[in-house]
Amino acid sequence: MMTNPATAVPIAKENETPERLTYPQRPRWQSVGLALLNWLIPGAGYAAVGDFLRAGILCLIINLIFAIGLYLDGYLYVPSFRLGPEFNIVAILTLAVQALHGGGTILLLAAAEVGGPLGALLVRDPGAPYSDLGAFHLLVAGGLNYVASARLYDLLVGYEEPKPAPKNRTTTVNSTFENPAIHHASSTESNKEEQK
Amino acid sequence: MTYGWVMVSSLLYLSLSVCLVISLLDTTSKSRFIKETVRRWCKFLLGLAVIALLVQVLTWFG
Repeated sequence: MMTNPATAVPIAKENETPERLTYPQRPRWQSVGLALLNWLIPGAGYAAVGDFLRAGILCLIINLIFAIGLYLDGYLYVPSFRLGPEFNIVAILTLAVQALHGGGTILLLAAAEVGGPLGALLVRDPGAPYSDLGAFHLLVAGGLNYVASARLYDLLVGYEEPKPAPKNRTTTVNSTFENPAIHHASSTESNKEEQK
Repeated sequence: MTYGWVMVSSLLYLSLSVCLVISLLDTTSKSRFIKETVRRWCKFLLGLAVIALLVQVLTWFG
């Protein structure tokens, strides 16, 4: 595949699918906004940049996990943040990861606050047999939504993963450190051979 | 379905979902997406099996 030397962004030929996913770059503030939109509604950020297929699949996968979590009586537990005997760091971290599914978390917290039919539908019993497994589903949904949002941000600001070092090195590191002249001499010889 | 089977089903479903999402965010072609998902899922399950085995062995000494 060809690469644009100025931007190092792969240029796909016609009818050629690029191996890595790339999006046109956007300003940083816009990328943050789209990542936040994706945090609120999984897949919405991808839909906003026009990648509707990926958005639909993401929305389906993440929200299905969230819905199954609710079906299994998954719950959001808001722990005490005061430093004292009731302080529980695991519960706080669990809530933090669950909250990475923004829309779902806001909906559940609002349902718990409002009560009524919505509360009866969405606020589950933490003592039910599968409630911990359900809460774990909510946790996974939040984690996956974080991965999707962070990836969207990276794609929009043009972040590229560092390439791995080439494996076929001929010069050993030790010889260079011990006696740089040896390395220099050998490289000079190899240059001469190449010139021949 | 018994409690244990629900747990095992959840394990398979959630691990597959994680692999699907990661592959979806990384690949562009359909064939590569399927290949990467299957490869990741197998590695994930293998890692989980190793951890499960280790935990089981440790229970014998606990």
